[in-house]
Amino acid sequence: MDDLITEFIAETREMLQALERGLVAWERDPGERERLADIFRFVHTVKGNCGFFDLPRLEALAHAAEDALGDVRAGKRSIDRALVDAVLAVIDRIGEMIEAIAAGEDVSGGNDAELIARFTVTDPQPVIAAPVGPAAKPAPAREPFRSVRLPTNLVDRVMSGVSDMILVRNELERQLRHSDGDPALLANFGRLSSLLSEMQAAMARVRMQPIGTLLDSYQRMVRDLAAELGKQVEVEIESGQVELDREMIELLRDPLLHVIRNAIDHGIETPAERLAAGKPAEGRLMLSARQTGNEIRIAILDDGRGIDAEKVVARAFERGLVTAEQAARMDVSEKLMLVCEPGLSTAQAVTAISGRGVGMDVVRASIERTGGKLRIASAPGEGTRFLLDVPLTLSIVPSITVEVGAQVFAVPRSYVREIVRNGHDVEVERIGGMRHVRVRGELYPCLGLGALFGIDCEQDPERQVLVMVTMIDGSVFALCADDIADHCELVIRPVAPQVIATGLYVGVAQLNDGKPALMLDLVGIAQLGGISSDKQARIAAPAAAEADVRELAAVIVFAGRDGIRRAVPLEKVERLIEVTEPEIGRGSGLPHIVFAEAIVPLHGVSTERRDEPIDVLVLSEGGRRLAFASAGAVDTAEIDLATVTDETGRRMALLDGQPVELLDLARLSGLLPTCRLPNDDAWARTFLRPLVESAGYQVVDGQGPADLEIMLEADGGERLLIGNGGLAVAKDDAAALQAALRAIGGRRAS
Amino acid sequence: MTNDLLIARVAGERIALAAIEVQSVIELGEIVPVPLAPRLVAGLATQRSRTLTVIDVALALDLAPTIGGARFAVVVEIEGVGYALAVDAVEHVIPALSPVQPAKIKLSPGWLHCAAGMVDTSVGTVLKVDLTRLVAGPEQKAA
Repeated sequence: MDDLITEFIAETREMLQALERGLVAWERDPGERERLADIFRFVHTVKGNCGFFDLPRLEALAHAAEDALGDVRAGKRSIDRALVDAVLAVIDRIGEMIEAIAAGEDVSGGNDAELIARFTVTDPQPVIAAPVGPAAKPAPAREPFRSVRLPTNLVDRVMSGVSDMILVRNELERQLRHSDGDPALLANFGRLSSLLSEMQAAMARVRMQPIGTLLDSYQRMVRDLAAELGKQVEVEIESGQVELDREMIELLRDPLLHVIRNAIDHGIETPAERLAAGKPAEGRLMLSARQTGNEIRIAILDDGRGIDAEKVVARAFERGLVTAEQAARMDVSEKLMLVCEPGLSTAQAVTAISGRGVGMDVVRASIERTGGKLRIASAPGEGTRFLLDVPLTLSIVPSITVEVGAQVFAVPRSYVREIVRNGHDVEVERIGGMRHVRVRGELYPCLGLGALFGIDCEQDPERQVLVMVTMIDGSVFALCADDIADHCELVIRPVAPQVIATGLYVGVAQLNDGKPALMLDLVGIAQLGGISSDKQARIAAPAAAEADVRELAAVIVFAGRDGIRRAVPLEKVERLIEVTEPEIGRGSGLPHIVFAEAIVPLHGVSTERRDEPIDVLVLSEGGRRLAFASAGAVDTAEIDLATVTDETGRRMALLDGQPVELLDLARLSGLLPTCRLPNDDAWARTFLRPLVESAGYQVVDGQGPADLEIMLEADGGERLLIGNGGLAVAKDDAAALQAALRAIGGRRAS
Repeated sequence: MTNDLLIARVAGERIALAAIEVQSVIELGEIVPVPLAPRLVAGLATQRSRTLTVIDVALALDLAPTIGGARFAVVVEIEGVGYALAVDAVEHVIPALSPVQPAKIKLSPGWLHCAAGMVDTSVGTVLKVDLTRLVAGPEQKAA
C-alpha cells in the first residue's frame, strides 16, 4: 500500500509539472480543446486513483472539477473567468494536498466546500455534489510519463561504474586485437562493446535535465504574482535544447526565482504607468537559456522601468558602501552591480513580495558558488537585463580533441568554425612580430599550442592542422596543433582550483583510452597568445547601450618612408617582403617590383635611390596587388572605426590618440578609373556593378572622389544618369550602358 | 581508528597524514602534464574513471625532489576535488601516540606553511601535514 501511494504521489507530481505550462496557456484561451482535455484528464486520473486510497477530500475536489470540465467539453456549459479560477484553485489545492500526503500529514481534516461551491456560482444548474462512484468514461489517456526519484550519489556511482566498464572494455579490445581470436568470441565481444557504448550514452544523460523544465516552472508564479500586484505580464520562454546538470538546476532555482520576482515587483510597471510611458499595458518578461561555448547563459529580461544607476550609487554612498572617489571611477555596469551589495535595497518600499529576506547579495553569492557570474544591464525607462553565466560543469560538450606532441587537448566544437589542413591554399607568414596564416586570402592570427605550452611538437606549420576558432566577438584565430585526434562528446568535469587559476582550462574529460584530456579555455588561450578579446565587454553591453560598443578593425600600422604613419586593414596585407634597389623597376610611370611572377606597382618610394634593402608590404585589393614601401616598424593594432574621418580629404583615424592615415587602396590599386554607384541599392550592387567593372572601372564606396558617378534618376528611378555630362540611359538597357561607358572611357584615354 | 596516521616518505623525510582523510594509495601510472600550471601540480592521473590532480609533495613542501620522481600517491579529496599526493613511499598506518602539538623545532619555509603540527608515533615524532594548505602550494612571496 505504501508503495502504491508513493507511486500515486510521484505520478500526480509528474502530471502537475507537465500541466504547469498548459495552465497558463489555457487561461489565455480557455476554449482550446486540447489543453482542456489535458486538464480534464488530470482531474479524472486523480479522481480515479483516489478510489484506491482513502482520500475523500481529494476525490471530491477532483470530481467537482471533472464534472464542470466534462460539461464544458460536452458543450453544456460555457467557460468563464470564474470557472477558470476555480479549476486553477482546485489544481493548486490538489498539489498542496499531495505534498502534505508525501510529508506524511493527515489531510482528512479541512474543508473544501467553499472551493467546490465555486463551480456552481455562475452555473444555473447546480453541480451535483460529489457522488462516490466509478469514473463515468475513462478518457483515452496517453501513456503517462513515468519517472523515479533517485539520490544523486547513486546515479554518480552507476555513472562511474559504467565509465570503469568502458575502460576495461577498451583494454580488453587491445588484448583481443593482438590475439588471433575465435570469431565467435570476437562477435560476442563486439555486441558487448556496442551495448556498453549505448549504456554509456544513456547514463551520460541521466544527470542532465532540460533547463526548459526549470524556466517553465516559473510561469505560474509570474501569473499569480502579476495578478496580486495588478500588473499584466506576458512571459516568453526560450530555452532551446539546453541541458544542465540536475544539481546545477537545483542551485539556480532560488536565485532565478528571486530575480524574476524582482523583475515583476520592481521592474514592470502597472498598466496605467506603462500606458502613460507610451508602452503597451502588458509588460514583457523574457526568460532564455543558451549555450555559448563553455557556459550556459540564462537571461532574464523585462521591459519595465529599469534601474537608475545614479540612484543606486547615491544610495550606496548614503549607506557608506562606496566613497565619492570610488563612485566617480565606476562605470555604469559597476554601479548597477552595487544592487548586489548587502544592505542595499533599491526598492523605495520593501514589499511583501521581494522582501522575503533574500536579497540580490544572496542571489549573486549563489550564482558565484556555482562558478558562475551575474551581470546586470539596464536602461532607465526601457528595462533591465540580468545575465547569469553558469559553467557547464559535468555537462556533455561536443568537442574536438587535438594532438600536440604526446598530449591531447579538447576544444569545444561550438567555437570551431572549420578545420584547415595546411595545403596549397594556406600560407604562414610573420607580420608585425606575430605568426599569421592566410586561408583563402584572409589573414588570421595563428597560435601554436605547442609553442604556447612549451610542448615539444611538430615545428613545421606546413604539416600542422589549423583549428579555426571563432570567438564570441566574432573574431577568428587559428589554433595550430599536430593533428585532430577525434570528434566526440566529452563529459567535462571540474578540475582543481590550481589548474583553473591558470585561466587556460575549463575542465577535464576522460578519453576513450582512459587518459585525461584538458579542455581549453579559448578566451584564456587567446589572451595568453596576445590576441586581445574584449569578449567580456561585449557581452556585458545591453541592447540599449550597443551603440556604445566600439567597432574595431584590425590593422597593420607602419611608418611610410616619408615618415607618415599609415594603417591598412589586416586582411588586405598579403605579405611583408624585403626588396633591394636593383629589384625596383623604375621607368617613366610608377616604380614596380616583381612579386609572385607578376609586376606589382610600388607606392610610397621616392625617386631617391638607397643602398639598404627596404621593407615592402604587398597588399591586395579586389584581386589586384600593389606594394607599399615602409620604413620598418610594422605593427598590428586595432582602430576604432568611429574615429575614421574623411574631413581632411584623406581617410584618417585615431590610434592611441594619434592620427594615422588609412591607405586608400581603392585609389592606389592601379590606374583604373573609379566609379561610384547609387548607394544602398541592391539592384546597383548585383546588376550594375558587374557591368561597370567589366567596362574597366573600379567601383568605389563612400564619399571619396570618383572619376565617374552613376546615379538613379531622382523621380521614378527608371533611368541612369551617367557622369555630369547629362548622359542618361534606360535602367534595363545593358547594351546602351556599356556603350556609354566605353564612350566615356575613350574620351578619358585621349 | 580516527587518530591513525599514514606515514609516507618524501625527499628523505617522514610525513604524517590523517589516515581518515586518505581514500587510497595508488601506484602512479602515466601522468598527463598540465601546461603552465603551478609547479607543484605534476599533472593529471586517473584512478579508474576518476581524474586526479597530482601534487608533487616534495615541491609543495619546498624540499628537493627525489631523483627518479615519486612513484606512489596518496589519494585524498579536498573540497570535492580528488588529488593524488605523489610521495616516494608509503610506510605504515600507525596510531598517533600523542595529540597534535605545535611544532617546537625550526621549520623550513615550506613546512612552516603546510605543517599542522608534530605528533608522536611508534616510529618517532613526525610532522603532520595540513592537506588544504599543502595542495594550495607555497604562499606567494612578496615580490
